[in-house]
Amino acid sequence: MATLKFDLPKITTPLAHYEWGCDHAAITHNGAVMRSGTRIPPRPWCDVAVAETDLVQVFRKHYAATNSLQAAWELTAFELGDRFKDMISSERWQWDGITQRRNGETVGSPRNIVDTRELLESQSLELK
Amino acid sequence: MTSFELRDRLHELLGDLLGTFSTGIPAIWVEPPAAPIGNAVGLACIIGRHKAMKKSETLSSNQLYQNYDWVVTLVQFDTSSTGCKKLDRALDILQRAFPNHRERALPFSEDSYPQITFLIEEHAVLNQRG
Repeated sequence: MATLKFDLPKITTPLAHYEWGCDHAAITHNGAVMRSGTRIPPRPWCDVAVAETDLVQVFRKHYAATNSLQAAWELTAFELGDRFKDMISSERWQWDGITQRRNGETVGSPRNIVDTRELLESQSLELK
Repeated sequence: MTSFELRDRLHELLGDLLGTFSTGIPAIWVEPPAAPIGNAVGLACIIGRHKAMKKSETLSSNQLYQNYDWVVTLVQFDTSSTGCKKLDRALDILQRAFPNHRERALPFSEDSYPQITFLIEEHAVLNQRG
C-alpha cells in the first residue's frame, strides 16, 4: 500500500521580538511627565510603522520571491525593522519649540528622533 | 464614540480615584489643548482628542472600514504607595471596562511620574457619499 506523506511547511521562529535597549526608548515612544515639570510628547514610531505598513502585502512579496514561508517571514521581519528605523529618522514628530541637541544640531518641529543615534542603534531583532 | 463620550465614560469609571488640576477641577482632560498639569495632584487621565488610525480601507459597498485606537494616558502625580495603588485600581477598572485594549507602563524612573498609556481599540464602518 502506498503512503501519502505531506509535511506542512512551517515557520520555525514564529515570533519577531524587537527591542530598543537605550534608556530613553520608552519615554520617547510613550511620552512622559517628568518630575522637573517638563512634558515629553509621545513619538510612537512602532505604532506608526505598523499602521503604515501592509504586512500581508510585504509577506506576499517576499513569499513570491523566495517560495519559502520561513524566508518570507524573516524578510518581512527585517523589512518591518527597517520601517521602524525609517520612522525614527523621519522628520515627522511634533515638538513645541526649538531644541539644541546633544549632537550639536538645532531642531524645530516636526523633527526626527535620531539625535545621538543611540535610539536608532539600540534596535535589535530576535526571531524565536 | 467621540472623545467627549469617552471622557464622560472614563470620568464615570474612575470617579473618586481622579486627582485634581491646580484649578481644582477633576484631573481628566481631552487634549489638545494641553492639559493644565502644573501643580496637578493625584491621578490624572488625559485623553487624545484625535483617534490614532491604524487601518482605513474602502469596502465593496461604498463603505469605509476603520480600525483605530483612542489613546488614554494615566499619570500618577502622587508617588506614595497610596498613589501607586490608586493607579493600579484605575488600570484594573479600565481593563475590565475595555477588554479590547493594549497598555504600556512606563518603566519606573526617579525622573518621571508613574504613567500608563492605555490604548482602546475601536472599529467602525462608515457610509461614504456617492
